[in-house]
Order: sequence, then C-alpha cells, then structure tokens
Amino acid sequence: MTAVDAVPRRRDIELAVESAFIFLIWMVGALLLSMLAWAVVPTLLFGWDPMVVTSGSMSPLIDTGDVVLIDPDHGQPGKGSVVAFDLGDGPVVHRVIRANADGSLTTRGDANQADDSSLVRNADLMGTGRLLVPFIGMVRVVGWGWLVAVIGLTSIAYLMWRTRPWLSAAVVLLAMAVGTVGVVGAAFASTTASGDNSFSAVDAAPPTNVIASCGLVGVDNLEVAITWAHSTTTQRTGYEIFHDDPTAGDTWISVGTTGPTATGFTHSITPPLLSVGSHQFMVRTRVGPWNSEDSNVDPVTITFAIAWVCTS
Amino acid sequence: MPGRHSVPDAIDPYHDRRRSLMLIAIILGVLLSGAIVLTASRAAFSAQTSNSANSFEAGTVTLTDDDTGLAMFTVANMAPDDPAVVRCIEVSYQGTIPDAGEVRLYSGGLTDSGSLAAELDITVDIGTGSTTLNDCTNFSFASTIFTTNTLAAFHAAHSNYTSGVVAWNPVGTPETRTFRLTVDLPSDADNAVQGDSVTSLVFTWEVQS
Repeated sequence: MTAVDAVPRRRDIELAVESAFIFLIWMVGALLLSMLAWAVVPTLLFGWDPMVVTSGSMSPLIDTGDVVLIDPDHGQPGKGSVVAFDLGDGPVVHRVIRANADGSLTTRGDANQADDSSLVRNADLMGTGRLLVPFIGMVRVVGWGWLVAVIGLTSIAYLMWRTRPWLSAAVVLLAMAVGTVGVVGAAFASTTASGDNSFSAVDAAPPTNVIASCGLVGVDNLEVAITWAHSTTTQRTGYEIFHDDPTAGDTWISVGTTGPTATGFTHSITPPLLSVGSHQFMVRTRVGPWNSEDSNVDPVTITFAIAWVCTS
Repeated sequence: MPGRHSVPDAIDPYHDRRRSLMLIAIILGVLLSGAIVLTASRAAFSAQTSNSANSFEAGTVTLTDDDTGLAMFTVANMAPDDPAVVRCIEVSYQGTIPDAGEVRLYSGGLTDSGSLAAELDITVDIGTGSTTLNDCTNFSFASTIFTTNTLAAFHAAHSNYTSGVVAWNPVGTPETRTFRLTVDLPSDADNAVQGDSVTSLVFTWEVQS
C-alpha cells in the first residue's frame, strides 16, 4: 500500500508544476498575441496607423517601444491631445499645447523643457493618437529585436502548424502585420539661446547754429564764411557745406567738405556764379558715407551798387 | 483538440484539466491585454497639459552655452564704415543620448524699428576654441554655416528647428563647438536706416533626438 501511495504524491507535485507552466506559457502567449492584435486589428477596422515610438520624450505616459495608433481622420486636434506630425525630420509624436489663431498647433513632448520651436501646420499633421499599446513594439526599437521576433514567431508557427493550424496561421498573419508597422519618434529637444540682442544705427545729428557771413569782397569775387557749432554725433567723419545759388534754381549744391574737428569753412563765389539775390547756406554732418539731415539755413544777400555789396 | 501528437483521453486522464487550464490562461491573457491597452491609452490621451519638469528622465538631451545669460550683441550707434562686430559663443551638447540629432541655429523675436535688419549683414562660422564673454581670440575656424547675407534674410529663412541652420551633429557627449557671429553694417548701407534699431533678437541653438 505504501508503494502505491507514493506514486500519486509524486504525480501531484509534477502536476502542479506542469499546470503552472502550462498556465504561464499560455497566458503570456495569449497576452503577447492579443497585444499584437490590439496594434493590428484597429488598423484593419478603422484605418488607424500603428507606429512604434522610438524615443522617450513623451515619457512616462508614452515610452520607447510602445505602439501608438494614429487616426489620420483627425479633424482639429485640441489642447492636450497627442498628435503625430512630420516636419521633414521624420514622424514625431507630441502633445498639443495650444491651437494658434492661424490654425497651427504648438506642441511639446511631455518630458521636454520647452515647447517645440516649429509650429505644426495642418499639412504636417499625420493624425491624432487613439490607442496606446504598451511595449509590444519593442521588437522594432531594439537592435536585433526585429530579426529575433521574426525568427521566433516563424518557429512558433512552424511548431504549431501540425497541432494547431489556426493558431499558427494567426501568428504568421500577426508577424506580417508587425513588419508593416511604421516607427515614430518622440523627439527630445533642448535649446540654448543668446537673447535680447540689439543693434542700432547711428542717427547723425546736423551741426547747429550755422551762420553765413560776408567776408572779403573783391572786384570779381566774394567770400562767404560759414561757421557752425559741432554736431552732437561724436562719430562724425566730417561736415559737408551746401550752397543754394539764386541763379541755379532751388537746389543744394555741395561746395566743400571739412574734417570732423572744423567749425568753419570759407566759400568763394566767383563771377559766373556771382549773382544778385539771396544765397543760402546749410551744413550736414557726415558719418562715413552717410549724412545727417539739413542744418538750419542762413543766407547772405548780394546786391550790386557800383560794386558788389554783401549783407548778412 | 485531437491531433497526431495528442495523447488519447483514455491514457491521459489529465487531458481535460490541462485543457481547461489552458482556456482560462488564454482568457486571462486576452483580458489582461485589454486592461493594459485601455489603461495606457486613457492615461496618455486624456486631455491634459504636459508634465512638470520633475518628470525628466535619463536619456534626455541637453544643450548649454557660456554666455551666462547675457546678450551677445548690444551694439549702439553703428555706422557704415565701422569695423564688423564679432562675437563668439561656446555651445555644448551634454545629453545622455550620445548620438543625438543635429544641433541647429535659428533666430527669433526680431523687432525692427525701421529697416535696419535688411541692411545688416550676418555671417556665422563654426569652429573650436574657448571663449570668455563673447571674445573670439581663441576661435579656430572650421567652416561657415551661414554665408554672409542680411540679418532679415537669416531671420526669414531660419526661424525654428525645422528651418534652422544645421550647425553640427553631436556624436559624443559632452561635445562643444564655438560659433563666431559677425555682424556688419556695410559701406553701401542705405542712408535712410539712420537711427533705426533692431531689438529683442534671440539666437537659439536647438538639438532634437
């Protein structure tokens, strides 16, 4: 009797181990396969695009290896929704921070310090996130994972082909589906900036207190002395003196330049220009090729009474 | 489920038990997957703003510079014949992801009281060499990443990461580059921009991975 008793007892332990093993294998297998199905079936039913997340800027909610199902029929995504977009650097999954007045979206990765610098326009949008299947896309992210998954799934399918052909076919179909899943980055971003830079161009001020006064009067020439007070523009490279001759029409004609330290200039009016009437003088400050506005205008009047007479 | 390798029920009295165990396991696995997917989806897609800064984790990218928060350029009273204004800045990639994406440079915030930005010329060079408060003494030239053009053209063409000027692609961490920015008011600058000013100009370096 004791010998007979011993057999079932050993059987019990074996049975328990075997049961636990079977249970675990089938549960994990069913879990993985149905996770795969979660990633694949909505694609077939609703046309959502499954995409494997390849980096962690949306962590901790969306992590590397997760599969995000993107609904391309997105409408207008609101604040807080997760969108996939492509600005030319590959697809990115980030969250909408705000919808801007011009229709664009400001986005940001949950784990990023700052909003994305590039605005997302409607044309860049791939869709909004609808379903998140954790972890199952890891095979596409880890170096050789993809190959391992294909070999693994193919082996399982081969081993089960004889005993469970329906399951085997399902595994093959899922393996094929996994191969077609796209990848999407969740871009980390960091910036550093040099802010508040400023440039301003010099605003050349004209000299002040410009006075034209009569100098030597000769038989056929006449001198006018023009003086001024310095411009406040310390960067000045010189002054330029202008003359408006009554015979030449109402135009300013440059009659000479000085250096930046001069405060006077003598202009000699010679016979062809010597003419009766009001001669106006004005000075501009020069800064390199630039010149200031006109200074005040000061005239001298030339008349003829036996000889030339100049009054200022 | 009879098959070629199945043991007939008469010989294996545990067949039924195994089968029901298997079924329970499968049902549990399927239910569990549903729970995981729905919970994760709800957490990720429920409308909410982004996390606070304390959710940073390893594997992030970080970019820093040595400007100690000061502006590179504060240039007043520029005149056409003045020598060009040259400033240098060191930018370091210090992420824990060694192979990040490109570091790109762009500008923002530009406010122009007139049309000075259309007259100012800017050139951006990249190289190495330490800098102290924008000083370029130790700058060692490597290449020009933005060939001389107006500041207005730079700003219009490079205003965010997508359109940014490609600076360099870090392959290690930390990795530092020095940038030399040259701004010049050329001799043929329009007389009409006298007194105009460009303010609030921000130069931003950004890296994504």
